[in-house]
Amino acid sequence: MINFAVTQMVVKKYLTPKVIILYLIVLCAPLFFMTQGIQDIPFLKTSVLELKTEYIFGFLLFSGFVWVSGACIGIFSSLICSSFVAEEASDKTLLLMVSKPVSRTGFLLSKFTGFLILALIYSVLSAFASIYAITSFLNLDLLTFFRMLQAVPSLIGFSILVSLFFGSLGVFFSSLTSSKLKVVVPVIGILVFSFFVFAPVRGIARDNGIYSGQVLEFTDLGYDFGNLYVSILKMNSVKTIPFIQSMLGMVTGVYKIPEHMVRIDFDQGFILENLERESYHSVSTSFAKLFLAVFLFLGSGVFYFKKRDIH
Amino acid sequence: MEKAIEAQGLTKVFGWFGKKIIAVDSLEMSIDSGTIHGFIGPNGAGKTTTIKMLIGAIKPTRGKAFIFGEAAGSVRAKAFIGYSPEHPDFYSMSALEFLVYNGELCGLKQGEAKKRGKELLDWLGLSDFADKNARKFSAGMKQKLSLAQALIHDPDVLILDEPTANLDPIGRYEVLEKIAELAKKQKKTVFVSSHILLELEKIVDHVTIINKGKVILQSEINDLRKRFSERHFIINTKNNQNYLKSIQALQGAENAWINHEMKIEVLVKDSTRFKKAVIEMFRGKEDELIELLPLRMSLENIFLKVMGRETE
Repeated sequence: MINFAVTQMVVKKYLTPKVIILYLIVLCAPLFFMTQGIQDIPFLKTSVLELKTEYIFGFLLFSGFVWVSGACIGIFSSLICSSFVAEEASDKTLLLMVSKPVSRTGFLLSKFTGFLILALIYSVLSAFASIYAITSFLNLDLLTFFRMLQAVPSLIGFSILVSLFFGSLGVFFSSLTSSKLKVVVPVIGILVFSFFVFAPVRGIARDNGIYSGQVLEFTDLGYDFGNLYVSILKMNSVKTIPFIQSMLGMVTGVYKIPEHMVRIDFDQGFILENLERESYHSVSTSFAKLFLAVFLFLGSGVFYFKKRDIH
Repeated sequence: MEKAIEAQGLTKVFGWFGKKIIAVDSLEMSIDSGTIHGFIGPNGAGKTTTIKMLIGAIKPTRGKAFIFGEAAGSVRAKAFIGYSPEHPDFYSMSALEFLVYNGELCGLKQGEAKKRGKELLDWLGLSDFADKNARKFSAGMKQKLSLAQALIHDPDVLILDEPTANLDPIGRYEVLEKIAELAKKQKKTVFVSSHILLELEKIVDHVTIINKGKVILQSEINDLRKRFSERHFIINTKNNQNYLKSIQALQGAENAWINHEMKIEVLVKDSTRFKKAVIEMFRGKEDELIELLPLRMSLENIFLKVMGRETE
């Protein structure tokens, strides 16, 4: 069913030096600005090296969630997958392709296979490039660099999950329309909403008691992604300090936020207690939801593509 | 003879509820293997929609189509066909890379596809452009490359939608010559739609005329010409104006007029009786009659006649 020529074509298209350089610039630019902010935090200047390393490591884990393995790879995935049907239809190349002796299901799944290869390559690239970028931007020593490499498996694992979700969502929207913009806008909209916008909505909903047991809990993608990220970190024995737990809690709702919003070890040497987890649903439920969504989006994408008239 | 293409009650309705447009209406068609079949009709007749249903790009609302007995749109049916669209466009890659990709899509190995691609580019006179970006090709070169991609897997049936659209006269001549060569030398079935009937009639041996989504005529072109020419004669005498009235009055003649070549054009009821009457009329003054010929109707004239839009 998989046509390797189609798979190879997708990989070749997005694995050019031009795309890689552009991707790295987009990946590293926000990290540069974020690290500039870190350098100005007064208490970090006076912290002992060990604590400073922990905070910088924590910064990597947080930026890994919201940007490196989150929004950045998610946007990239949606851009790749939106081209599968929509871009080819608008470029008029799809008409020739559907006349070839390849089933439409095979054609789309071959493209998705190419995307999975790309997702793996770019996840690895993102993890190493972000660590290298943070080390360079903050002029860190080699020891801190090696400490940060501990996060690589977690970042790669989470990137692949995010890619799968937003890639399959891109395939679904792509199968419905002939305009790449009509695919990219809703997918990025869902991404921004899940990772950033929903945080205050979730807070208010939880305070008012309308979150739990309602549709909100089921559709809260940010919580599920946070839940998965924290569990992946745990699986890889990566510990997070309360400060980062607070930050992740604010964005995803997976930790109970303390009254003063974030917990920082101002008193150096004194290790604060970990934050309590918010367990709206289990990690296995979040995994099941994510994979169900991927199969649903991909299946619907294939279904609509098979039914669709190509002009 | 084996049927290369068959359509049974093929129907396509676009739109929803109140805004329904019937693009193709219960189309019945049967194309013999090894023929060059012209598919003609006015704009909006449903030609492109029919072609797209045959290649599997558009799903029929009702009815079925078959390519060598395989359901149109299935992988097996598509293995028999090579298709070239009206406005071909390609990926941003070299012409040869594009052909290799198409070959691999059709199941050829990379080496085979490359060899075949080079042969086709050479055959179409595009060898010098093998490494050039196909997207930047001129309209004529794009049509030729589109023909090459359609032929990459050596299909039995070629389905060509307006292969000469947007081409200059030389480009049109070259593309049609290649199509004719394919059918004659390689015995391929060619199903071709075109607006340029004067050129199409040089290569087709069968024709289907479609209007408002329905087939209104399907015939071998020679039969068609014979059918339409049987009642139509051209007479040229030393003084056409003088003889016009006498000819109008002849047995079997229905109407006669002086045409744009200043010859007498006659529409007859009974061609045998009419020919006899003309010969009788000019007996003893044979030198007055320069020519008496059945009118050879062009495909364009037949098409216009069938469409009910006589030019004269």
